[in-house]
Amino acid sequence: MKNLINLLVVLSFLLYSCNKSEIELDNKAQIDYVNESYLSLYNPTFPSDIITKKSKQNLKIDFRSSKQKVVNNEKFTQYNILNSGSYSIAKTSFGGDEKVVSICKQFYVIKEYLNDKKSFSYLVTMVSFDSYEIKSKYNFSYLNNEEFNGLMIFSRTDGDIIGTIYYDGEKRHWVEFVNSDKAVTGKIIKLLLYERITSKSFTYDPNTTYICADCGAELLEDDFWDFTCQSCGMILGVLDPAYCSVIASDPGGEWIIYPYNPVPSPPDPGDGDEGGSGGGGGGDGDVPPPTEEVHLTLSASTSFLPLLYSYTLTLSTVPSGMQLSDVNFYIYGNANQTLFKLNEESTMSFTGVARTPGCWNIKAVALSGQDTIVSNTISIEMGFPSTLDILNDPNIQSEMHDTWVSTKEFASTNGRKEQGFWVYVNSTEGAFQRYFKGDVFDGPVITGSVGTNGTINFSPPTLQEYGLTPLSGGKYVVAMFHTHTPITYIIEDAAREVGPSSSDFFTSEQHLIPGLVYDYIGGFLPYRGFIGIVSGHEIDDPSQIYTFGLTRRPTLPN
Amino acid sequence: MHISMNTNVLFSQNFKELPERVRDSLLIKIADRALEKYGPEYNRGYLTPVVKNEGEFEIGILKGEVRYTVTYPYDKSKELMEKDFSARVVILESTGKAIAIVFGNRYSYNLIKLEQLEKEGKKTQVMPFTTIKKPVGPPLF
Repeated sequence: MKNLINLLVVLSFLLYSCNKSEIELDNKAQIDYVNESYLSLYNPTFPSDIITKKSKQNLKIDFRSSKQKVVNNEKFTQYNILNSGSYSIAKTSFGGDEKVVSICKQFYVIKEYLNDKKSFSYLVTMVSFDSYEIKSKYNFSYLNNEEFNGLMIFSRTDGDIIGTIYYDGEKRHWVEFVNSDKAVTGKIIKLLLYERITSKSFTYDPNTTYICADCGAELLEDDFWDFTCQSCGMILGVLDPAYCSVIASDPGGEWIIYPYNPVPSPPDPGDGDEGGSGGGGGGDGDVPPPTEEVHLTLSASTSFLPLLYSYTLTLSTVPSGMQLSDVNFYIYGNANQTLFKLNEESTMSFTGVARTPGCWNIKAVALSGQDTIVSNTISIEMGFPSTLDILNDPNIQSEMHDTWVSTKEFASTNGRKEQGFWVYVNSTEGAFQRYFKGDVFDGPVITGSVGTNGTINFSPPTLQEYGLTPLSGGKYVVAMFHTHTPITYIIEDAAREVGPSSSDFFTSEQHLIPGLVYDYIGGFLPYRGFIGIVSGHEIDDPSQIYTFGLTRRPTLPN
Repeated sequence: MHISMNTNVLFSQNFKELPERVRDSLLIKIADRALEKYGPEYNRGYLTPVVKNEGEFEIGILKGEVRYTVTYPYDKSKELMEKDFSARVVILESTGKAIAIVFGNRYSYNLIKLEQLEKEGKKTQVMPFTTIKKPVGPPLF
């Protein structure tokens, strides 16, 4: 009989979306007893610790177990949890004393919506700060303490960190990155996560000979489980850049720890007959003197704006008009929560420009006397420009017009061809041109006459440069443009409908990008019942740019 | 015994008095004949054409003339064209003549003009039959 796994997996319900200003946690923990092959969790949440409280406190996971269903009454109607058995080597440093302290267990979690069948996957990595001499590839009893002391890191399957919680005994805190040297408060921890083997990127094949890249010794299966070459001690890892690129390296900056619930609750205007939480034991009626707390409220001029548009952040205090110092606005993503400071000078308002597309979180931190106060977090979606924004740009207008002229000049009795290009936006500060074109693609020359529509195939865009931070901006494809062809030189008496075709719409839908097409304006042809051009028309008949498909490229997840 | 009749003559003389079912079958026959000449492959043949009274022309030299359309649907799960139909033939009520064909590839013929050109000895090209394919696969970026 296989060993039973007594596991209390505590999964916070991490919802991240543009509409959410905070990552939420559900505090209703429930325990379920599971076996190796099937794990059922109901209302999965984080308890105050992650270790089972059963008598045999082995945190033993069947790494080869199949999908696990979990039902959640609130949002998801179905979970699949796959304990895929991937590990990390974690290295921490305390006061300059750096050492490997644990092997992390990573839960590969797949959450599914029943409604639309969409899924969201993330990894949970547990890093114990306690050192254990005996570590086993299956037996995690060394994590056998009810007060787990360490980090629980949530990351996407591509490695981007969604959030981190620091468990300090029964206390827990959000852990966030800051790039600034102004760590606000709390214990500062530096964490280095090393490359890891994942079941997704590596499967041990007993029929294959593996050689240590460092000493050349042959590696055995246990070496992989222990992540160490037994001959030379080198830490092994199959680094899948797409999988591990972020979490596998030091994210930079320092770690700061905020209280678990960083959003201050509104002040109670009443006389406050409820005592505060915690505190040492006082005598009956020993009510601590009220202290006036200052609360920061952050608001924004908009919750959505396209790249290169400006927005304004405004801070207010409760009580109003409080004097604050060292006021800073920070912006950060949902996955990588590294904070980026927006303002240069301490001020109660800030106006910035949308540079990098994404759903960004913004909050402010300030000093009220000696106290550090943190505002509420707001979310602003910085989206791609609309087709109207693109069409209003004189540079790209000129480029499209030049291509249209080129298409017309090419057309003759010998044939005609469509032409097109990707339209890019350059959202970096000080960019010479906001919008620019990529290489011009030529469609095949159509030598037939009536009835033969032009076509054009777009190669993948090559000039995109994704912004690495919310502030850096980048170069992004924002639309696809092409021309239709004249039928001036077609000898048959025929007419063609003008404007975007069904094929054009299909292409826009496939690439999730707006379409622009240069074509004649044409006129209403009553016999046919459509707006079109008739063969033999003047080559320079009135023309225009039509838009079709999406009005803007969907915002990238971040 | 096979009886043939001049549908144009019958149509122009007796059109308004004809029962709807008979009228529609005559209109479809006229449309079939036009398609056979100018774009036979656009009559896909596997679905019944739809006849519709489109009312009077509101502009143009045919202003006030009533026209019918005969629309040829096709099965989009089997093939795909630029238009939702493979062909649409426009027929005048007063003469019973097909005056235009709109093809599924977004091109169309003005049959009145084509007949004039044919009388001058010019031959009209049969509309090439083309279909399109919905792109598949992930986005390019």
